[in-house]
Amino acid sequence: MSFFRYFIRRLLLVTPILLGITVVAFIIANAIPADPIVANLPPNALNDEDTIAAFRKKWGLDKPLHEQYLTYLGNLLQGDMGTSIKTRKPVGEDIARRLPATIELATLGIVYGVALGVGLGLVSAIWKDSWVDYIARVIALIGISFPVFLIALVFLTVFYAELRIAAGPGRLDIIMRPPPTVTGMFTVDALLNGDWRTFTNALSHLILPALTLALYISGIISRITRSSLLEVLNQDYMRTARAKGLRERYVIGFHGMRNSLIPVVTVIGLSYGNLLVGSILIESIFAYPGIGFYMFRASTSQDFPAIMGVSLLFAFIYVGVNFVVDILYFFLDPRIRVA
Amino acid sequence: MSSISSISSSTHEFESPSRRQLALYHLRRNPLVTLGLVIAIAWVVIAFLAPAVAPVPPLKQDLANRLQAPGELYFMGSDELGRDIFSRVLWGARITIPAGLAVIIMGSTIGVIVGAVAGYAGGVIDELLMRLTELFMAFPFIILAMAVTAALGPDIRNAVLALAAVWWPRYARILRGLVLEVKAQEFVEAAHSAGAGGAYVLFRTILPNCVAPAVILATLDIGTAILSFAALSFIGLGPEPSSPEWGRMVSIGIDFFDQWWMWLFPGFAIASLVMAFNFIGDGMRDILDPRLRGE
Repeated sequence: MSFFRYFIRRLLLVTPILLGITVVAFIIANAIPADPIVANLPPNALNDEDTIAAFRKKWGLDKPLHEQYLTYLGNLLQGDMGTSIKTRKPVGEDIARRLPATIELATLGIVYGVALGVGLGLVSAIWKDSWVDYIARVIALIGISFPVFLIALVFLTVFYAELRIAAGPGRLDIIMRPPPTVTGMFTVDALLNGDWRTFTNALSHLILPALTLALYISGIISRITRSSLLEVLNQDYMRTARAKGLRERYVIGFHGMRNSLIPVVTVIGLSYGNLLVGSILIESIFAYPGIGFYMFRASTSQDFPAIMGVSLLFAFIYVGVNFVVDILYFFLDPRIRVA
Repeated sequence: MSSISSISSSTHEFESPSRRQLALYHLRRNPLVTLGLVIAIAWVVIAFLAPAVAPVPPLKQDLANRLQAPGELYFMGSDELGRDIFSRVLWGARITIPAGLAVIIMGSTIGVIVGAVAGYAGGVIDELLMRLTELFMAFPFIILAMAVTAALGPDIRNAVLALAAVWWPRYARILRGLVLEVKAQEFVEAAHSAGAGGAYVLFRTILPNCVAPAVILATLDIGTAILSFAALSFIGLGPEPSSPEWGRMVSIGIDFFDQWWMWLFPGFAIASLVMAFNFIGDGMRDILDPRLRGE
């Protein structure tokens, strides 16, 4: 199968899922709350007939349900997800402003997390039942069993408050000024601006939350890497590779890793869901002003339009990431190309 | 002890170990399962006994002794209203354990029914139910649960309902596959030809042969359910703020970062319970899934 055909076929499979997500979000937003008007408007606007009438008209609340959905979808396609009760700004605008901060954190988190998870799984499988394996499995167990907010608080206490080797909450020290906005990602913007001090400061603020995120997602990744690699290590072709005199590093690095990679890539895609949830819990503790912190504020103050907006965004990101994973299979698994 | 009796008893063991002997054998080989069971049972006992053993009622305020560090007065310290953290942690087990179990029981029941009906009915019904399942799996499930709880209005009951409502898809998938497998077997055909109706065959003949994997999955899942519930209540979509619920206590503790006892003890309570269930779940999978037993 050519790459192009594979790509198009996958894309066609994703489209109905994206539409389905908007249907589910619509149902949650409009059918479950006893009164969508009460849920979506600030309490003091509920006495204001004009505001209520405008809200009804915008979302087509006086029309039948399927037309309401089409109105909802139309508004959504224009990036309109309603108005936040708390910030009084359009949810889409709020999200757009905070998204770069979260992308910055999530990228670093997934890089650390994959490195940690695959690394631990690898040493754990190669030195199975040794003390290295034991330690690696305990770390994985902590990542899986400890609530991520507890890990965040412990990290903050140990590395920031006690040892003072990491920067604390926020994106920058209070005395620092944000770099001129290009991408909204402070590290990138500072580099573009040639501002080394801001860059290192922004980076030092990222390290603790990113490490927390990494520990959180690495547990499951290292477990899958370990069991997947163990399965491969027993295969006949591994013995053949050794028998023909290949170096051990090459045997494991090429024959072993490559064949055990498919389940690992799958679980990395799936753990993106954890990453998004983790960002809510972690950003709220590190007072890191991204989407997660926005979601935390929204849910503690019952800012319903904001909650729905972030949920929808997270679902789309999740589907998007797993679409990319599907595409990666094409390169990782030669069987797809033959089929 | 005579050598003959020991030989005969060991031969007997070899021929047909009883269920109890098998269980003991596996427990001995999986010490972590035993540890998990001990911790989990301890928490269940605490949940039952909390009203009797907690030194102070969980909501009782002692404003003269606010934010006390752990010490003689309060074993785990006190919070911003002078409530006893130790008593609140004990009481918290009464919320978290039932909530976690309820999510798993409701979620897996929905999943088992959806999957079984889809697998047994086939055709259009199967297509529809499975597409619906895939749609639910497209969401990161806690995010979906957050949205549903927010829509229903935040409290414990709605948090549990919302989690159950997003929990079922994996069970539906697994059950459908199993039902398809069992459906093709001869005893099902026999039941049909003996005149049994569709519902009877599905629920009395097929399902009993499919539940074991669902039970394993459910055991593995309890820890995740408890963590998810704690996460929901951490962000304020669970019990009301004064409630002695662990996730909520940690989230209030953030504002009192230096009073580490406010967040550390409830956090450890969650971690210990989740870890216990993970030990039990991993062990059960190793024991019951022969494919993995060799490892």
